[in-house]
Amino acid sequence: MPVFKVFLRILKKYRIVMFMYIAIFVSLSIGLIKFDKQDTGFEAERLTISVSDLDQTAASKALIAYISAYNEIAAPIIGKDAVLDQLYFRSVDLVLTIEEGYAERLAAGETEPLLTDYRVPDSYSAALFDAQLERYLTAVSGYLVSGLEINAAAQKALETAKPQIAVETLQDEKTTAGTVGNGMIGYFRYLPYILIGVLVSAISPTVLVLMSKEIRNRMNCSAISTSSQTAQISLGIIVVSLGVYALLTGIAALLFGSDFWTWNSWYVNLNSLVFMLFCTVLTMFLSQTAPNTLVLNMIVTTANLLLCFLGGVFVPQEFLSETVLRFSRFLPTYWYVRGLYLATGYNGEPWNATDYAMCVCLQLGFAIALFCITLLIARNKRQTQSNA
Amino acid sequence: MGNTVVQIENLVKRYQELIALDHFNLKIQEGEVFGLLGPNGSGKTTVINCLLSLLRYDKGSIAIFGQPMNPEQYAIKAQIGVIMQNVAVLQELTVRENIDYFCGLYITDKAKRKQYVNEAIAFVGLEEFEKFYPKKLSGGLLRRLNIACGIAHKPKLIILDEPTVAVDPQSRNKILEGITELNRQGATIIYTSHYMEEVEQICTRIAIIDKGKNIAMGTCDELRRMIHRTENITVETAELPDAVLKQICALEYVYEAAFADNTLTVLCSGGKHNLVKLLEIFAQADIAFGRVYSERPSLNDVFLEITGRELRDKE
Amino acid sequence: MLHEFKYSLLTQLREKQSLFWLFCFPLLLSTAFYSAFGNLYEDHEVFQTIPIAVVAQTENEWFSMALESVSEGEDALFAVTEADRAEAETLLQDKRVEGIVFVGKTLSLTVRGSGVAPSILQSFLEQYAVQEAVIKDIAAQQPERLDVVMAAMSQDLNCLKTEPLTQGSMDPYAHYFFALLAMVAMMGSSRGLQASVSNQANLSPIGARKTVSPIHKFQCVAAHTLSSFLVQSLSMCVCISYILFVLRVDMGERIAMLYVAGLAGTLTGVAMGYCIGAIPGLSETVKVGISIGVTLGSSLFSGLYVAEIKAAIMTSCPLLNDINPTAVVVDLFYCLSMYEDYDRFLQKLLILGIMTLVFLFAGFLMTRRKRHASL
Repeated sequence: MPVFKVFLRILKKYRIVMFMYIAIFVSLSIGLIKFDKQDTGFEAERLTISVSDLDQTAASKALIAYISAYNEIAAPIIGKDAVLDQLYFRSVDLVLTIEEGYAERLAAGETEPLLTDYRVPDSYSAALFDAQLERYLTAVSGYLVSGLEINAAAQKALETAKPQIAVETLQDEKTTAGTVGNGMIGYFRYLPYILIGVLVSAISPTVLVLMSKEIRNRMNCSAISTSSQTAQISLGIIVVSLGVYALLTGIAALLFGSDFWTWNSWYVNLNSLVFMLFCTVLTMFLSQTAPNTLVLNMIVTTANLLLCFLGGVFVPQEFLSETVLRFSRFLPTYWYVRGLYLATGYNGEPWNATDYAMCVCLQLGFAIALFCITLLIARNKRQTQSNA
Repeated sequence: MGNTVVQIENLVKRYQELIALDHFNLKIQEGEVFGLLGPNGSGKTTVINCLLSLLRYDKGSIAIFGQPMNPEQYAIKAQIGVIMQNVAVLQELTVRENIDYFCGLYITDKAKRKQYVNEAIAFVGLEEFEKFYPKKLSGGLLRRLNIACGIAHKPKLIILDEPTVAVDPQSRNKILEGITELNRQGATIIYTSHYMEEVEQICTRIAIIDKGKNIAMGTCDELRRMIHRTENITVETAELPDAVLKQICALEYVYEAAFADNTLTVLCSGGKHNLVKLLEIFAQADIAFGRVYSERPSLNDVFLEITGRELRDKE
Repeated sequence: MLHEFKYSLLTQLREKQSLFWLFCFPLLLSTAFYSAFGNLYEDHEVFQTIPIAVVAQTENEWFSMALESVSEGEDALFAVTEADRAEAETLLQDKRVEGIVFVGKTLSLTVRGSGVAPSILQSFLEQYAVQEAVIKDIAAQQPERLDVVMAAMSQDLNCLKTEPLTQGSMDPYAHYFFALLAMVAMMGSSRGLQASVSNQANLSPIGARKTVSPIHKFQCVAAHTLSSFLVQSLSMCVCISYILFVLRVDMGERIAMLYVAGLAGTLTGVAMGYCIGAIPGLSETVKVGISIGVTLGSSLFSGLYVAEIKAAIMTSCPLLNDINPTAVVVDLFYCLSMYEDYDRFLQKLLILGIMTLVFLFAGFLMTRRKRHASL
């Protein structure tokens, strides 16, 4: 199969691009693992709060102990610029300063201002902290008025302010939540970007070389029929696509260990396999339509980013506006992500076999439709060239 | 012929282990059309690139217009026109714009440049293609554009590095005529090629270069006189008995005769009536023959005799 | 020089495919960003009244009053819907409420899953429960002080003073637009590279022709680099205008300075490309690869794909940000958007200026008086 062999040989030139994409993706995935937590029902949101204690009294330490029971405490931040940077990027959710004289003035019944903060204004995180703070300080205030001295009031409030409300989550025995962590979900959610990038960046230029006018004319003069040539090129595309897919899936198996081998991860893999099929057809389509490598690069970069941004790959679908989602439903990436959510129970999505099957079938449908268009274009091109 | 325009002395250029130029010497006088003839890989382009200070060389000296040549010699560069082997035009500019652009690197006066550009377009015969983009031009026309870009500013020294490669015969003739005309207008020309016919046609003096060495230099006649051979006689005949062939070989001034593929080739050194004597032998032996021609040795013959190889590989 | 400038500008503007990269790609990408991030901050970070369902299993006047006090007015914490259990569960399933409060002997809460809104709801209920616990505690131990305690606990405390931080928007997703503009600036490196390559005899026949002409190399390169800068600046200005006036992304009030930042970044990008193009001994393909790799890599570390990367570098190794030209350009836009004074902006501008000069100088040094070992 000489055409198949030369396909692979030409493809070797693009292996650096392929491995670059994969390397960056894997590095990011390793970073994603730290977000790999099991979604087990309700967990109260923990803010990251930077605390500076200028009072250094037992009462101020009690306040810090209370805050740390429900939030993560970060080191004090020095400088307004640094505070702004950290808040802007949400490295911290709030920067709190316990002013000097906090205990003394609280004991005296003065309340302004015992504490100062920097926050993201009018945000959910600010509202949450306000609610938490008020809970504690109201209790302290109550105990102070009841006659306790400040340190005792602070300690007593700390004990009383422990959680007392029972919180349940809406149970759905069909949900698959809890079996696959968010890290693996993130890995498979970003997979379309890498698959399209790797496959189209490497395979399409290879096919362009083989389909250039001079090379094709020379090949058509040979003893190998056109259909055999096409079959060998297609085989090359399929083999490489499967190889890349196997590599990426293998990496996932290594990174996510036991999570990867759970019952619902087979659905995850089937979903991604079908999407890989779409990517393969997209590669064939772009090979037929792009006149040269430069235009191909432009098209693939633009198409990849649009498919991924609008389909919910980079930004989770639950954050996209309804207007965008209406348009996104015409994109295969949208259905891929939907299928992934269903298979993993991400965001409380309950398992529904029919919905899942629909997502997979729609992706297949996109692939088939694009394949038909590709065949039409290829036949049209051949006819035009033979008439020329 | 007067002043020395180009003087190259003892030029050595190495590419690691390979010696591209091996103590190469050259002297070109004003008003000459100087041909640099050699097979592929002999070092012709290397000489040109060293001459233009594009390439570093390991030893030797180069002077143009009496001045040592280096990359900062802008006064010398202003008087040189170069037509490279690779077509060097901008794909995004039309024919006129390309010529105007490259002429503008030499001529800053707008009015003067406009006139020069018009003359250059007329000179290469691209009037009908002024507004065309290079990708719409055939190979020959592209080469003409390439030439126009190199000579529009009316340089005193014009260097053409294999300008007729892959060019159709009509364009080729046009190019050769143009070069001759440029020379008539006062330019000194350095012309490199591996096509001996072109070099024989237009060059006043020729240097034959092989493996980085200047192996022979002079006019066509001077080069021919360097070799043993003075005449090549070719006779087409269906048969030639060995005895007759021996008789031919025994002729005075004949030093080699061979019969193959119905063709007798006789190489002579000296003598005036070699053809007559040969035909007398044919008449005596009653051998019929077809075409007969006698020619002076070509530069290829010169090259072959000096190096033992052909200038161009047999097709 | 004007002649070289005119023709290099003309050449660049006639490259149709390159014009697409120049103009359309940044606009498409910013549109994609806008569609993905456009409303994220307003919809998911800016506080909006939390819809909840309340299932009253028993009467609880005190809780009802407490809930009413936080459900009224413009700054209401909750929007309450009273319903029975089945209705409430349907509302929760359909994501029309964030949680169901069951008012019985004790309070309990049912939510869909974790999140900040359910956490706020939980915190409010805890506050009520804590107050109840404190009152019960004091009623048991010092009943004579109960009235005073209840009065004190029902007062607004106002212990916390929030300091103003910035006039700019705290929308972190605007960062992606800053990073996009920084990438547009660095895309100028491909133009700078062309300016360099097209003037080198060993990389382009045009370069050879120019090298043998009497034009000083500096003039050729300067003119070409300038025209590259002009062309790329056009792209930058169009992109900034599109983001500001069409997409209406909030990038601060100092609009003129945004353009200045964009142009400064563009100059650095072009200069960087010029320097890469001047590296000796490498083919054009390799240089283009380096330019693309540096642009994409520096964009990655400037937070174009994941903003947290830049934040992490800013905290752990700020020097790395300062030597990454893309990150410095991002910082320029960030400073204009967030800081009132120009101190940090000017600092970053200076860094960028130094980088530009270093690139240009290094590039020029590598190409001046150049004779090549081979062509």
